[in-house]
Amino acid sequence: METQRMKLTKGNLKSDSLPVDLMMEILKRLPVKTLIRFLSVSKLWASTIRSRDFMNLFMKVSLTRPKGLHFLFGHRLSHLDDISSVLSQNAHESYSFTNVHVTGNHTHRTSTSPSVHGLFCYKQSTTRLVIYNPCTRRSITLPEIHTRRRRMIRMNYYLGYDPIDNDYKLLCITIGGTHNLATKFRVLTVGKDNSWRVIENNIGPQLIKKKKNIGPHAPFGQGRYLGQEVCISGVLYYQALYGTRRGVMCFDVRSEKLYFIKGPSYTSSKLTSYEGKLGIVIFFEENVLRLYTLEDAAREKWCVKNFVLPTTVQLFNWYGKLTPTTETDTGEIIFAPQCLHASECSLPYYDMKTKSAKTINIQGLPERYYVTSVSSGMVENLMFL
Amino acid sequence: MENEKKMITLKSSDDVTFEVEEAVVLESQFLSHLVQDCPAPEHKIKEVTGKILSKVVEYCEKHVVVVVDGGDSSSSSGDDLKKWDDKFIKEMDLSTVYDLIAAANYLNIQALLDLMCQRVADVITACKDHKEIRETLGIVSDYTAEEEAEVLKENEWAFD
Repeated sequence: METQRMKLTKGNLKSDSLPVDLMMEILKRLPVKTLIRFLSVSKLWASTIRSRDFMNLFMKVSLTRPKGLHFLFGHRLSHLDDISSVLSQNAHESYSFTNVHVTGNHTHRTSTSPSVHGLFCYKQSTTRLVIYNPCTRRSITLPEIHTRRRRMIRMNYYLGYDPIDNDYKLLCITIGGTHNLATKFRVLTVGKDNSWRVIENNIGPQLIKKKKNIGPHAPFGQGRYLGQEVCISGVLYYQALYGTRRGVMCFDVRSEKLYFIKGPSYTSSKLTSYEGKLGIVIFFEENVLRLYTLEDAAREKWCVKNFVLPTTVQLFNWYGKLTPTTETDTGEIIFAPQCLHASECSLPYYDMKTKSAKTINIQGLPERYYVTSVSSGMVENLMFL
Repeated sequence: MENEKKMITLKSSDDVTFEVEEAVVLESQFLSHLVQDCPAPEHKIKEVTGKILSKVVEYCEKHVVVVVDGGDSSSSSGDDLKKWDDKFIKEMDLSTVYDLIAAANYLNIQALLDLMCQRVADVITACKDHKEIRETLGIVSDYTAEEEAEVLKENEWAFD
């Protein structure tokens, strides 16, 4: 590196002679870790790096970089007393293991949302959610959700991103009754709202046309299986039963409107993003993976493709042990078991575009870990929270 | 057969003039609009000094796609151009780099802006800590000792 150093003429350099927007042009080329290291350079640097404008600029650059692969692990099944993350800078090449401790409720059963632009959401207690950014290692505890009934209440929560206003929003749905119906919808914009907003009758145009309301629908349970939700281009999708019809509920993150699309959703099917479209993946037969992609939302038209898996992938069982990632815009499905041992850390993945299977090796896992979230297509997010 | 080349004169803020081919000017989005909208033979660029404009012209002349006889389009090969860029930037002090960033931004020459910004980013990456950055980039910290200690403690993990 020595020869690369710039020759300097000290004394006549005005360090702040560069306007902030051009300073950002330079800083956006640095990795998150370097930027965090240099928050201590000066207050101007810190405020520039922490600014919302820079965060958005950095995200634009991040999205053009090769996407990483990220695992979140807990020590126990469905418990997030301790998060460890494995993040590869180059997908399917090298993996670095970092142990990140988070304060969670040790006794609370929880699940982690799939990554949305590198952010995760998990439950700290029944009525408290935490947003966590593994890149900056910052987390924020969101305002408490006020409900009359504290106990025995079930809530599903989904993290979404609105690319127009660059807002991250959480949709929290209270589920009740014998049919597990959605009874209340709450929304919170991260970094903007001080409390949860209850949304009512936010019916999307698709439902208005059919003269329907949000209607009694039952979102599928979270926690047991990953892949129940996905956010693509400002729309958050989650699998649900709508009356007797199976399908996907859609939440437009920006307008906060909800609508339903009929589709082949089952408890064992997973939502994914395939070539920018919503996809539902399900095992059709023992060795056949079926992918439905949403071609036309208004007409509820799905396109079907079948993939015959090679024997290396068939060894694994989909229902109990394995969980494919939910964020595979690259067309890859990763088969991650719920539990990883140090000796058992090679995971098969299947590339739907090239129709080939490969293996990912993760090394250096110190002990037994449970996989709580797998995200390929991981981007570096500079949000400090 | 010699192609007829249209020449354009650029004048810096301190009245240094540069006579360049039109193709060279077209490397800059800003100048190409200026030349199209106002077909005068001379254009004054008030925001850029002669010293910096000479560097800009040098860069653009090297990077321009040369149309040679017979209509073949060619430019210096990628490797040669990269070597030239490295040499071009190595001879520069940081204040010139900063001025060139501002000029490239003003004149809208994306490749030059990228080259210069990446150069500073490389210098920053090579610094092991905040003190080295301050020294290298001539930054005076406005943190108090306590504030600095707090920021450092908060982000300790990033120094691994």
